[in-house]
Amino acid sequence: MEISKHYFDTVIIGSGLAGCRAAIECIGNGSVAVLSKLYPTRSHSTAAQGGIGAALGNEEEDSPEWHTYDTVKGSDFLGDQDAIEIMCYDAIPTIIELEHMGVPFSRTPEGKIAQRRFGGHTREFGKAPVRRACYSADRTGHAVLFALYEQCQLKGVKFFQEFQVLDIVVENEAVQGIIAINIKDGSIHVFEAKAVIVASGGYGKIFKVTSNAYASTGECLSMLFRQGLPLEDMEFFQFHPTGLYGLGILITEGARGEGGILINSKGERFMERYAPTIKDLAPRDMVSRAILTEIREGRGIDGKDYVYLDLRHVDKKILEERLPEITTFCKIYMGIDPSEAPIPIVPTAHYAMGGIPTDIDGRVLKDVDGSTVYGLYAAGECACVSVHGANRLGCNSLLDTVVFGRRAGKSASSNLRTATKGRVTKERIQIIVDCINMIKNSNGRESVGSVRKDLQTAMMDKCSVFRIEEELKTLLEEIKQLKERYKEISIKDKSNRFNTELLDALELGHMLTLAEAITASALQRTESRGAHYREDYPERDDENWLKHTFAFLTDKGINFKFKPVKITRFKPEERKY
Amino acid sequence: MRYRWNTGSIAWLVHRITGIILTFYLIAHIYVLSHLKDPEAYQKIMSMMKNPIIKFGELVLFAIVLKHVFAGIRITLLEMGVSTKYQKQLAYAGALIIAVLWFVGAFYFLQEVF
Amino acid sequence: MEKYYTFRIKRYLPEENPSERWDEFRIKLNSMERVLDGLVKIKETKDGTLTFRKSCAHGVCGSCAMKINGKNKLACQSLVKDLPELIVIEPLPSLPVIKDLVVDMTMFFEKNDKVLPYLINEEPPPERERIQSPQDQHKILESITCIMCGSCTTSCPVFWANKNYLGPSALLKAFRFIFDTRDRATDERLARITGENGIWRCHSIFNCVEVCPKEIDVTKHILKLKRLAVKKGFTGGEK
Repeated sequence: MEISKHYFDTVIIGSGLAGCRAAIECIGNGSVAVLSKLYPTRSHSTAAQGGIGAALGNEEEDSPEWHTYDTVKGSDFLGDQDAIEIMCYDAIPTIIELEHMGVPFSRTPEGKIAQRRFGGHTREFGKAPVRRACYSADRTGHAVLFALYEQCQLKGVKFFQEFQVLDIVVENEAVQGIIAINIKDGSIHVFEAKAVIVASGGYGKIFKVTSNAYASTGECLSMLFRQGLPLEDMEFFQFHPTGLYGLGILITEGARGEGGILINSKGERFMERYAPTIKDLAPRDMVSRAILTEIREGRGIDGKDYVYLDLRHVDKKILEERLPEITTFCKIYMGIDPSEAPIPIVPTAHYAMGGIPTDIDGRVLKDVDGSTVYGLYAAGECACVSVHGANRLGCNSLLDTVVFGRRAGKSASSNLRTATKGRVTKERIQIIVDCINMIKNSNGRESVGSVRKDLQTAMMDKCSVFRIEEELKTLLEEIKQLKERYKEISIKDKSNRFNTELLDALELGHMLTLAEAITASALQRTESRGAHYREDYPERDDENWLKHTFAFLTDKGINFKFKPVKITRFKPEERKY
Repeated sequence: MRYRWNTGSIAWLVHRITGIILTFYLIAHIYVLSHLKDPEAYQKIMSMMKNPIIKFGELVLFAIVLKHVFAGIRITLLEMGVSTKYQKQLAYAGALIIAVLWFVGAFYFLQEVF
Repeated sequence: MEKYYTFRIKRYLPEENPSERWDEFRIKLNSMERVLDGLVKIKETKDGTLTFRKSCAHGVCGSCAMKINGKNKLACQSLVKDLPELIVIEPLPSLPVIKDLVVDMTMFFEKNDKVLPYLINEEPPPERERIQSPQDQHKILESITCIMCGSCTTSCPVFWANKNYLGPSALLKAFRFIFDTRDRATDERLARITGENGIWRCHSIFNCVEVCPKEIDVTKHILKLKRLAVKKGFTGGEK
């Protein structure tokens, strides 16, 4: 097999918002390579619709302090408040900088960046919804990603598109580089580096119904996990309340921000009962649970498993101007016009709050004591700083990617002078080559498709919005069986060029590892907090569980350690909206 | 390579084809004109023109000229800023006008024959 | 409601002999499923070697553009119920094929790079955002929705005949920056798009408009560029 070697000072995995933002920060300091398994602008950041949060106060009075409070409260007090404060205060210069880079934000009549309401964002510490989400119609992610990618092009960042990472090499407590495959011809490429920034995004494809892309499989997290590095707060996986029924395609929270409401079979605006103050604009975990509770209690539309998102009363002009994308989604996929018919929706797997633990400068933690892996950084959805805690607020994810993408890039660059060049050993490369050959030569009877489907279905059934001990235990058993079946996997495509079946097989292995981490983490947290709702432990338990879960993979299975939550200003209180 | 046709691409192709035909026609036309040296030659060619086949050819030529002219007008209008939303309507309207003009023209042409 | 569909797919497997062939697969799909779901099902259950690009699966990333029943489309946006029972699938026309439905888009992206596809403004930025009226922002609204799927350029007969033509996608990108009031490099861009392979090659054929999955009226944008070029005196690549 052909093996090429490259050297770059900084290697960035992923070309979404976090990856591109980090690259812009790094490019002035040494050589930078960005790897993406897709063409960069196809990264899933492009699918973000509603907005990016910042207390600009363009439409009404707002302050970063309120933003901080909302985020802390939204996270069900599991978010680290020092990090949240940094994010919310950094938000303002960050958005202004994005605007200067060329992001085509929608505008107010005075020509400033327009802002709209979003779930969980309030004024004066929860009194009423506030306009905080800066948007570009309902294509905000797309607009920001293009601008960042374009700036990378302008500054001459080197992109390796359609290169999939096979291994991130961490040896002697430091990152050495990565091993990747050029999808186009199947050749193996080794990138040695002083610093590696992981910005590989989420892993929603573990679930059956998801708003995430086919590419969101989370292999980079699993690669680090398998090397003994921890994964933080994996039990917290956000389900977005409004996914198109049957498809999981996202309908932005901005739809409710512009006045949309949720109704059940009785035509009742049921969120009034669950969150009397901000109603439909409650945080996502609460709305998702409310929808599923309505369905469970038989108030789904026609007794079926969905409810309606009603936009009929919203001005047609607003739909056209501010929500054109979701309007076309409804027309294309459901054959309905949202101005004339309500949209059938159901919660959809959307965002991973958990991930690779990092400090506020993106450095990857190797233990709960705060010690870090030399030269390894993470940012974006794959990372857990943690600013989102147990539940992310809408429009904070784009903010997280750019704020912490920039910080990770900055700290990676500032350490370059003293850092030593990484070295990837031949043995390490051989392991990967052997693994590829093993899958190609296997005569097993299992197919990638069937194992993947069973995994996604099992995760959806037993580890989504509502969780209970028995089911989680069964699920762990099922995952174990799936892992056995995975060993029997064989593929038909033996070729080198664009062998997506091989890559699917490799991804599946990592998905199984992650699924296990999620399930085990969910099983051990015996309380309900944010997106993690245990029916057998329905209350939040601050006394025992106001702490982050760190899952470690050991020879004997998954072990847990805990890291205290950083609480600075806002003491935990009952979370009511 | 097969690719599905639509109004715009048909209009474009017909515009090109009629243009090419008209180029050849012009060459032939100039050739014929260059032979009009004396009254006899003129009479000879004029009598040839009365031939029904030539008359039929003239009708075809008339259609081609009309099509080419209106295709040109459509593109010019679009380039000058008429909304591209109406590109199809422009093509259809052009076809309609061509048909009307052609029938009227054909009526006068054929009057000469009969 | 489930129904059987026949997928007739043009295959190209460079490591096999013969490398080109047509394959037919019969699969059952429900009325909500899309051509992409069909392809995934075929790959999962019938032939693992079938290769295509995919990612977001709802028409925002631009990975899965291909020729479906003779017309460029996103597979994830084409519902099978709107198609006849026989679905003929080919790769995007006129680009080199890497494998099956995967084409080499290098040429396509390089065109984009030629129009300086980034905001250029070297004036010191103000402390807050640059002011832009909603009316000015609306001028580029349509052009910023482009997902660079390649459907337009590969449906353009001018591009089929002349691979050096910049093509609708790159010209739309030029428009996006030229008409952005915050940009300051209009002249440089106009010089680049008014040469022999630029805007003047567009013959208003409208194939790009017919295929654009984001319903962008690309030709309208190119015509606006032509008018601006004339107004500013750019005719043959320079003033």
